[in-house]
Amino acid sequence: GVMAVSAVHLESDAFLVCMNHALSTEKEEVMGLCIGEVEASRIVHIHSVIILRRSDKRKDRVEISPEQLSAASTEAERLADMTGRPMRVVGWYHSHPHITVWPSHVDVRTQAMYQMLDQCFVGLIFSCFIEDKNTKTGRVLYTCFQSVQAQKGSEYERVEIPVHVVPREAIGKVCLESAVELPRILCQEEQDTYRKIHSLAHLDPVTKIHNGSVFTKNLCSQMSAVSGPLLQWLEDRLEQNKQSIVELQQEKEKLLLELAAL
Amino acid sequence: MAEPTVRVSGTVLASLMFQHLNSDSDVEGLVLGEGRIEEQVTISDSQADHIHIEETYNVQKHIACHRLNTLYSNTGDVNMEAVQKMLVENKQESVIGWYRQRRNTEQQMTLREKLIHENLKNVLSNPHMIFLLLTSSKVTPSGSTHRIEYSAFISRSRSRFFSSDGLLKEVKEVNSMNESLQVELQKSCRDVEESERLVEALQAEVCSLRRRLKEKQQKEAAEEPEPVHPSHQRNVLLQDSVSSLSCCPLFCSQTLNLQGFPLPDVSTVTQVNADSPPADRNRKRPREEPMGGDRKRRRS
Repeated sequence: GVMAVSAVHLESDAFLVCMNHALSTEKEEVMGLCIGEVEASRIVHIHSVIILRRSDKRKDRVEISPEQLSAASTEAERLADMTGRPMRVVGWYHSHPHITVWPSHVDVRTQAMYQMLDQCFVGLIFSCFIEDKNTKTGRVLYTCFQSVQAQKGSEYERVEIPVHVVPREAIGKVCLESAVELPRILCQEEQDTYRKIHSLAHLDPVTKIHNGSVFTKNLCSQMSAVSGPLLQWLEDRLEQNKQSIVELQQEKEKLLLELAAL
Repeated sequence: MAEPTVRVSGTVLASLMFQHLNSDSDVEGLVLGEGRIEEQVTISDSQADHIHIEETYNVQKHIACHRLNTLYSNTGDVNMEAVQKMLVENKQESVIGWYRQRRNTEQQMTLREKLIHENLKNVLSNPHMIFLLLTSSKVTPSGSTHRIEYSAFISRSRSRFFSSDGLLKEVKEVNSMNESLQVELQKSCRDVEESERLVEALQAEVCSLRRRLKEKQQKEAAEEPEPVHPSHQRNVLLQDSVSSLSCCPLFCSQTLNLQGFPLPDVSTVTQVNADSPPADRNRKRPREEPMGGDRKRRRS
């Protein structure tokens, strides 16, 4: 049959946020929601993504709570106000670290469930930290899919949805904010974990010291693996942009002169 | 000797992919970071000292070339001026290699890339340079699934491994360190956002100005009479590349006889008159046997 969605167009700056998120940890699956609009051509256009915290960190349990969906809708409305376009939650993405890119049975069923609420809802999966030991080559894959039921009562199956990344050289405000949201969320998770344990009154001093050390180690690890490189990248980007501004100004003046001469 | 290791953060890898996705063509540039070679000596009574050499390259950032083929000439010689221009305030010592991103090609270095790599090593006097190659391709015909492969190559032309790589007082300290880092991130984010908007606006203006200028120029060109000077066109760039392969000069010839075999160019044999037509293709020559022996004699 004909799917409600013909293709997905993913803005490259939104792709950047997803990729940063997916590459931020190889120990667990990460996930988020996609914000955008569905065009008349049945193309789902994803303008930005929202990074989510996973409440259930068990393997393959990538589910979004109703509260998160509601918070995401609020975010989408904020985006709609900012951009002047009708934005809403149009899909979800998650990562498969060290795992094949294809959605699992659980993923396909979860996707089917979202499609019941919105038939244009799409799913993206980013597979990373795949290494071919023979050729010493690393690999990152991404795929887009929806779910379909062959007949009523049978198992859900994956349906391929073509996905194109749309070039966007300048990074949008929402994507930049989502990108720096990641280190904040990661650090917050560590702090929440520590706070829960630390509040237990009956712990002896040695255990407290141990917990404090574990927290210190984890937070340092986050800072050096994610926050640090991200700050470095932002500073480099700023330098690059300053350079571009100078060059573009020069070219603009030159062009204005040439136009005036004709 | 241990296998060298190249480390790249997820941020840098994502940034590289982002850059290629925004470009229709291949993308290339310099890789900056630090390379460390450590010698570890294991001393033992039972066997001879074992020296273990660990080579680690940490990729910290990448600088893209605005246009392809600016870092090197068509014969693969590195343009040092272009490298300096790209580096701006970055130190030359922090250049640990270069990178290229292409689509639908093999995840292997091409002959040309190997040549450029050697030249870059010589020009920067760094025998330990790395070459990062990223290739992207479709996995499914529908375009639902895509793959990006990445690997690092070093001078020895073998592909290398790629890996990414109580105290309550301390708790307080690390929290405050993290807090300032978060604040820095937010501030940096705002600064970058401002600059993105400026760049975007300028790019749009420049684009529109370029278009207007082109239109005006085309209009003017249409109104002017055509200048008449048919020229004997030569593809100088192709000639350069071919002659750098240093083989038979006849290979560089642009003159063919009726049978389609190369003859020495008019210009290599006699004084060239720019306005004269290229070699006598249309005039039949008597002894025109395409025998190697004949041509050799004629050359000397």
